[in-house]
Amino acid sequence: MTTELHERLAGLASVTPATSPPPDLWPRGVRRRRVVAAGRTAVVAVLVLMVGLGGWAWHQTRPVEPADTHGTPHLPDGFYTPSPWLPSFDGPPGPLVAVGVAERKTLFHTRPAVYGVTASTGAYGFVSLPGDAVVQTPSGDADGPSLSPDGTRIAYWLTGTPQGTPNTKLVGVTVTGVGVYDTATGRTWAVRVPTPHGLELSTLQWLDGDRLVLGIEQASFGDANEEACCAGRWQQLATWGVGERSVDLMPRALPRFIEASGTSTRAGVVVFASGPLVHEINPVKSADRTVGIPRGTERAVLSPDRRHLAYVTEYGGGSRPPVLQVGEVMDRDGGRASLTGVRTVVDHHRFVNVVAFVDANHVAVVARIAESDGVSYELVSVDIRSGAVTSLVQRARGEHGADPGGLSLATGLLSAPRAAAAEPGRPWDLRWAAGIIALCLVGCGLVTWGATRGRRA
Amino acid sequence: MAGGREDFEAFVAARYAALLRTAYLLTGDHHDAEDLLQQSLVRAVGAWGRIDGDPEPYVRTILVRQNVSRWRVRRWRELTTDQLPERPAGGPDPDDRVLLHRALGTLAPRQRAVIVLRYFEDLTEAQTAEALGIAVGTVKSQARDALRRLREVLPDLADVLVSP
Repeated sequence: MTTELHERLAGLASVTPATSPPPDLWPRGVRRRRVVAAGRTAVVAVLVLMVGLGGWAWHQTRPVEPADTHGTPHLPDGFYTPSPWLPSFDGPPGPLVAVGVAERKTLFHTRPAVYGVTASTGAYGFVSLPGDAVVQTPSGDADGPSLSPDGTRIAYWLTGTPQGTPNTKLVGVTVTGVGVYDTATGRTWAVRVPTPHGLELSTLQWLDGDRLVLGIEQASFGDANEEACCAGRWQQLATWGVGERSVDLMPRALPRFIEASGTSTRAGVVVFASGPLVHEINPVKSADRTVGIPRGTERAVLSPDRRHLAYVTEYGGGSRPPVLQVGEVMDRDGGRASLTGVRTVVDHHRFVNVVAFVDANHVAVVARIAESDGVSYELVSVDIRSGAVTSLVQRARGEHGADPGGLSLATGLLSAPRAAAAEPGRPWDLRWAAGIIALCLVGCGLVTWGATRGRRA
Repeated sequence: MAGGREDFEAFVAARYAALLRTAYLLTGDHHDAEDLLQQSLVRAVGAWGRIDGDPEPYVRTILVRQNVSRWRVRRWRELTTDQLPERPAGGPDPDDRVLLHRALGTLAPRQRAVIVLRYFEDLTEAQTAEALGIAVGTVKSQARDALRRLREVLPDLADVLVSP
């Protein structure tokens, strides 16, 4: 049976023409072997590259370890603008020495975000604030997130729904309250300010570690009104103790304020009036007082013992450069005080503004530095007794150095031991990494296709 | 088996014609058969140094597996044509060869390979299974199905073929 089928198959096969084998079978086989070996090597290399790239990208984007909350805080000698691809902290970051606002990118979005520098390790990472936190107002006029003197709390404005029609034109978003994020525990607090259309913002300053000074203005109209862009109803100062259910509006008898400045763990906030007066808001309310200062001064800070007021004078042209002056505050009756013994501490530095007292005898001041590639700023400590100037924080060297004057500093840590600043990692643009991996895949596919085609040829 | 070019070329010179006949039974076309055989021999060069013993089973394995792979690729890019497929050349009893050629053409490549290996190359079921990389049970079922289809086209085989 099978024999017959075998014979019939053999009969069919016998019609195959007798042809000679081509003489180049061996060289063709050798070539093919080389192509296959090269293709396999290329595929393995691409796979290894992809695994390496993937691992590296993962390593770069993994969350930043939180700092040791019990570690010794340090003041870095420079600050950097982080990469937009910097990862966020893995949970509460611990006490921070500075916070700032920088562009943050994801695969699909680019938006401003708050980053922090940990006090104990100097690590950089984006801070995960609640979704209704205002990181940066479109108008750019309002204070950004503010770091408490001890670096454990970040205050920020909150968006929300007002009682009436919302106003989004005054500052670009409808602000209705203030929130606080605890960097040690991750806990948040919030308070809403009753408002018909939303708030216009100015000052957001820490009075001490637990209380904030807010400068707010009620929007007069909702978006539907053509004056919505420009009309506020009144300006007012308020204070809020973190965790309290409402803000404490301050008496309107206070001078119309311009700016609030200067805070430390021990002294209050100095509020500038429209005249040559500053009003000190102290954690102890009964101790508030108003002091006259030179006209044109923009910022002033009080010493921890509330005895000295320091400020940088207004720039008056080449013959009158800004100088650092200090006066002694002498209390008078009726909440008034006078500034006596005003003296110029240093007159040869290009001072810009005072930041806070470092201790009873040293004040931190932002100074300009003229460099070959432009102007940058540094934070210096000035001894108000001798006028000796020492550098506290310089603009970090390199392309990504950040001016300390653009950050919200934990003023209570200005006296902490200084440490060499370490530049934060610069993770790759995820889109580049994805593109390279896609290219590798395409290359891998082409090599495989070429090898397969070579084998079939 | 030594792994040199001379051995390879000696093997090709000795077995080319026989392997070409097997390839023809697998493909049903002279040009395809030559193409398939040359491709298989070229592939065999890559492992020539590692072949232990008679290289023919190894080359035959490449031949049948490559034929199945080629069929899978061609299935997706078959073109319609107004030319009839190749028919076996004349000779003694041409009608019988035409019928067998047509009958083999109705088989799937693997069934066809089973028929060729089992009844032309006279391999055992185990050897056929090894050559095709399938189980012995699959060889049995493929052979049974293939023979049934052959009997439909070649009724005279019905009397002489029984299930293996």
